[in-house]
Amino acid sequence: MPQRAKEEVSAWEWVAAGLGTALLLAAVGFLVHQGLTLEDGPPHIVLQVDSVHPGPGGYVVEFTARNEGGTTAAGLLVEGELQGGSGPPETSEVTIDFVPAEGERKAGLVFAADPRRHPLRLRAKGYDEP
Amino acid sequence: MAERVGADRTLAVGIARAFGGAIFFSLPLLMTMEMWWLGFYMSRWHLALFMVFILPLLIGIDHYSGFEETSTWREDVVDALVAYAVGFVAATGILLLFGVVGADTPRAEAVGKVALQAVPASFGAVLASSQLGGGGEKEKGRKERAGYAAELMFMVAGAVFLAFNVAPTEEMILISYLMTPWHALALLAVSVLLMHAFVYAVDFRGQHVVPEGTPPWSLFLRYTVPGYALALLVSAYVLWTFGRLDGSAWTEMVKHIIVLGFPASLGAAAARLIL
Repeated sequence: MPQRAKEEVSAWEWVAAGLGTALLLAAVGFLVHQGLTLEDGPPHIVLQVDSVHPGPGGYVVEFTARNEGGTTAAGLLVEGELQGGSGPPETSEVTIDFVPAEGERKAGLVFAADPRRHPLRLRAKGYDEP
Repeated sequence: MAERVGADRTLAVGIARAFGGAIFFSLPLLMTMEMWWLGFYMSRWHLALFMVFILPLLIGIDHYSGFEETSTWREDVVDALVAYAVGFVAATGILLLFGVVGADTPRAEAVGKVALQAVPASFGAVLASSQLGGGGEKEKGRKERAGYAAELMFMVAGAVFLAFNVAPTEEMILISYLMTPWHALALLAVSVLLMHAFVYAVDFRGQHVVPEGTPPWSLFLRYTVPGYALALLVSAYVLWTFGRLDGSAWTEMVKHIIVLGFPASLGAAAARLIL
């Protein structure tokens, strides 16, 4: 380890010091800005179907759960309801571990009937605080 | 240090020591279930890139404190590759022993699990002699001449090692969900101060002596601040590797990075003392 009596400081060390300081100040500035402006309302979940894939076990509906609220939703329960022709609607559900504030997560639901030929409704039923 | 009976014996002792280090340093991760899951679901590209990224660090650590008394960079490269091989064999052995990987594990899954675990194991293999063995005189001399770039490299290595140890767990993400931006700001300040104190203030073995005529703020700006910046970059890279930043807003990403940056920065500081 360096134990020199008198240190020779190269220009590169000051370049590294400058870059490091810039990154540090950027992080601090960003956090202060977020701290002052962020609103922490409840999670506001928007569900959107991305694609439907026929598979051997049924039809897989891939969807995105986007949280437009200011707090993270944990254990978000999403239910999909597929209206059949005459009988009761077919339902499937999934629990998503976390949907971060202003973030999104992808998940899937499986149905026996073809969701492209019947009306499909997705609904967020409940969540928990992390 | 054992008497040098013959080159073969020296090599055998070196390899045995490397295995010891590989198992010792990677055991916490070998026993973490998120690591097994990541082995099959993480992006193959991210995994491959990470395995390449780690190689220059292994070579660098080996150059300053490796498991053989090497002198040229070429030998350091060979040593680092041997450490990688040791890491692979050790990780395979332990995962087989735990039954995490077996004859009926799909091949792609087994390869992913072993490859991911080989990274910390190979780190351990390289660290083995510098920490568990008696270093030769030559190593000490080289370490004392370690320049500024080498100090930064030590910090990156330390940050990668500690960040990698905790990044796979769900808790890393959960902690930042519990924090407000103000918590994150406080954690950032604590990380930087602890980092500086670790190296210069609390009398650990290997503490750095402040050279005469150098004001403390100069060391803080030239070592601690760039070190913390590197710890944050390492933290971001490790989180990205494990897909922990996917689908998150900027605020959440920055919080994740600062939470993982805490152990990473302490790893960086500790590496300056130990390596």
